[in-house]
Amino acid sequence: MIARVLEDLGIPTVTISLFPEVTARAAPPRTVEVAFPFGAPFGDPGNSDLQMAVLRSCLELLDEVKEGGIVKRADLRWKRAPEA
Amino acid sequence: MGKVVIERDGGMSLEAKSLEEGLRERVDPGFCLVDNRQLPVPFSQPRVPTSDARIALISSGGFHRREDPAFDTEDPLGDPSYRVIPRGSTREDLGIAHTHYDHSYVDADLNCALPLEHMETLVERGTIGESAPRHLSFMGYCLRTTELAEENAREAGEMLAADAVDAAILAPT
Repeated sequence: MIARVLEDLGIPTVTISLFPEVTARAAPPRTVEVAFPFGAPFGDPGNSDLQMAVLRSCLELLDEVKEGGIVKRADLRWKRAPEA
Repeated sequence: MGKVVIERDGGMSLEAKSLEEGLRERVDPGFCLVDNRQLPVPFSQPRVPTSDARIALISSGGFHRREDPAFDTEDPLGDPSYRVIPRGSTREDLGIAHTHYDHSYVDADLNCALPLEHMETLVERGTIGESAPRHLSFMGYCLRTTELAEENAREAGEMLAADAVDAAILAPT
C-alpha cells in the first residue's frame, strides 16, 4: 500500500513479504518473499550473512525488474529454526 | 508464523479470510483487507543503478526515536502515523510501540528488522550509493488504511523525495 503511493511519487520500491497471500492482495510492484517470522524480515539475530542476502535480493530486484507485479521467492533459511 | 496458502489467481485463502473475519468480529465490522489485485500496478523505473542510489528503509515495526512520541497502541484501529529514523540510529536510540510481534529478535539485533548497520556496510562496499539521511517507521497494525495511504504515506513519500531518495526497501514486521 505504501509502496504503491511511493511509486506514484516516482520512488521505486521493493517490498519484503512475510505473509505472501496478504501481500499479493496489496499488489506492490516488486516483492521479495521470505519464510521468516513476524518481527524479523531480514532473518535471525546475529546472522549478518542472511540479513545481507535479503538486502541483496531486494537490490537485485530493483536493478533487474522492468515491469510491476514481480514476486521473487528468496530461497534463504534461518541459521536455526525460529522459536515458536 | 502459521501456514500460509498462496492463492494468486482470484479467491481468498482461508488464512486471509480468517484474518479479515477476525478483525471484523473483534475490532471493526466494516474492515476489509486491502485488495488491489484488479488495479494497475504502479511502477517507477529506477533513475540510477543501486550502486549509485540513495536508499531508504521503511519499517512497519513501530520504531521511534526515544525523544519522539510513541505510536498509539491503545487505539483498536491502530495508528497510521510514521516516525523518522535518522541514519546511524542504534537499538538504544529507539523505542518500539507495536504490540503485535515478538520484539526479542530486534532486541537481540536491530538488523533483523531495520538493518541500518548493514546499509553502511553496503555503502562501504560500493553496493549502494548512500544510506538515506532519514529512514522511516510506521506501526504495522493499522486498520485505518485509507488515512494511512492517502495522507501519511504520501507525506512520507514527499519527504523521501525531498531527500533525493532513489529507492526504498519496505520491510514489514
